[in-house]
Amino acid sequence: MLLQQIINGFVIGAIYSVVGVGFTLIFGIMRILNFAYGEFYMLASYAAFVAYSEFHLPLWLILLLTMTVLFAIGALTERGLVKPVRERTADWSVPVIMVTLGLQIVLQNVVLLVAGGTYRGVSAYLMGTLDLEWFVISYERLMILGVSAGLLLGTWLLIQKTKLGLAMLAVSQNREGAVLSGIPLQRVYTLSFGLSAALVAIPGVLLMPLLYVYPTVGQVPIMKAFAVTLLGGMGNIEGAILGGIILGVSETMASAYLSSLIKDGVAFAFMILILLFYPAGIGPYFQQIRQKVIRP
Amino acid sequence: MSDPLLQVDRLDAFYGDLQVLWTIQLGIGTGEIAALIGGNGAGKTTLLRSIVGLHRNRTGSIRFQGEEISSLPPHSLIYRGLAEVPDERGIFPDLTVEKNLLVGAFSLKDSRARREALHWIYQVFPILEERRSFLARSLSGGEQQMLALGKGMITRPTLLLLDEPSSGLSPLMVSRLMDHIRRIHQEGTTIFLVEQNVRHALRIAHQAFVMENGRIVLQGPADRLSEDPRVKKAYLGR
Repeated sequence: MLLQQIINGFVIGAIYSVVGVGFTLIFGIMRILNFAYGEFYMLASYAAFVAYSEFHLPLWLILLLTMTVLFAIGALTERGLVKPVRERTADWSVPVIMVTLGLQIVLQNVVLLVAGGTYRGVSAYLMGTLDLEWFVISYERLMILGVSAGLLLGTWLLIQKTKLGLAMLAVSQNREGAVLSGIPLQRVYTLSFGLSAALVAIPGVLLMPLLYVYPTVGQVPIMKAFAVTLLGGMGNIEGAILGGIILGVSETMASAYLSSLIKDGVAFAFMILILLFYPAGIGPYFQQIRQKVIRP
Repeated sequence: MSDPLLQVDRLDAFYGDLQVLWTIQLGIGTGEIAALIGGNGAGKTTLLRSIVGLHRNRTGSIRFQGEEISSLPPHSLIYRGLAEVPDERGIFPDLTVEKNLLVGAFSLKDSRARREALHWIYQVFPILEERRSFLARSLSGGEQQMLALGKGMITRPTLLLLDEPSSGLSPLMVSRLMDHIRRIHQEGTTIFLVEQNVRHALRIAHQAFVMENGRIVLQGPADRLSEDPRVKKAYLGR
């Protein structure tokens, strides 16, 4: 029973990690909170609903298409709405955050107008369950776990092993130092925004059967994104992965042993408790430990 | 000296409505070590930031290798051979030493060139190779300064601007630093050195500029300036 709950928690946690990584990425690089992040999720959910129930596309193709479309939407948002604000003022953090807040409301209303307020959804992408004596896991959850893990690994490789990743790391730590090394800030910002939106597209697709889709569904993932990001430390990718798992497991435990009605309350109370002891999030401490392990 | 490598003409700079640089005029020839000295708040850092375009509220002309660069975006200058090590050293505290150097080599086109450049820097500063997997923030002040220099010179720039490289270093480290700067110069890089440590700066420089209240008040060969009574009195304490 306990093992079963931990595994369920890990599955949810892995997808929360993806949600958190995309959110914290933008904070790390641009020092802004993207309040329209949940609406990127919502758009991906609608896209998945239409592609799956109307066009009967296979899941892998839906994942690929929504990622591509959301990448474009994210990059265009940066170019069209964020860049003009950045160029007009040196102290652009707060104005840009207000722009994303405005975009959140506008997108919710536009979708309400187009699609109506009805909850829509599908039962599940995959049927069947894998029974492993110690625990059972549905193919759907197994798939969510696999895709999330692959996506997190891919993001990690992108950041650690590619030139774009190096540029992103540099910009997140020292903007002027990065510029003096020849890194084009504008391009890094645009690509990061696109990447962030592409990342949250996957939870948007995969969680649609579970959470349904409606114009304000974005409120759920953005709350998780906040929690995961704060837990891990703002802008800390590895911390966000860890934070996602902690949030997923504590939520699942709370709903299994207490009540599913108060799972959010318990999970967030747990988050507050951790922050009381580690106000900068747990990511930095985790990395310190790892540094010591690498070179004792 | 023929056509200067860097030529600044009638440069004015402002913070809002407040003018901080006044008709700056200076030329640096290829192969020189030029020093810019002056007290705190004289405008030295603002001058460097204006040259590379990090400070954009400015008027006047800045030519590098004969081309006007004042309207170019700052990230493009390193591709033309103009590099700067800023006053806060421009390093990335939470990246490893090796990643810091690789960021420094970002403007080199292919990954083989970046690897080779990295190898060369490790030859110049063996301590950096020893520390390659350390986070930059865990290095000592002197090591951090070496990292900053290594990062600044890794692309073998034509002109390297150094903003107060000696700040925060012990006297022993400062003279070692000056040896390193001489070495970078011997590798074929022209140096523009901004320093509060006037004695050391004048010792290695060919030409020097003295800055006060946003103006260049004195300039000439470094050995002559170090004998100038005004410089002696104000900066050398003699």
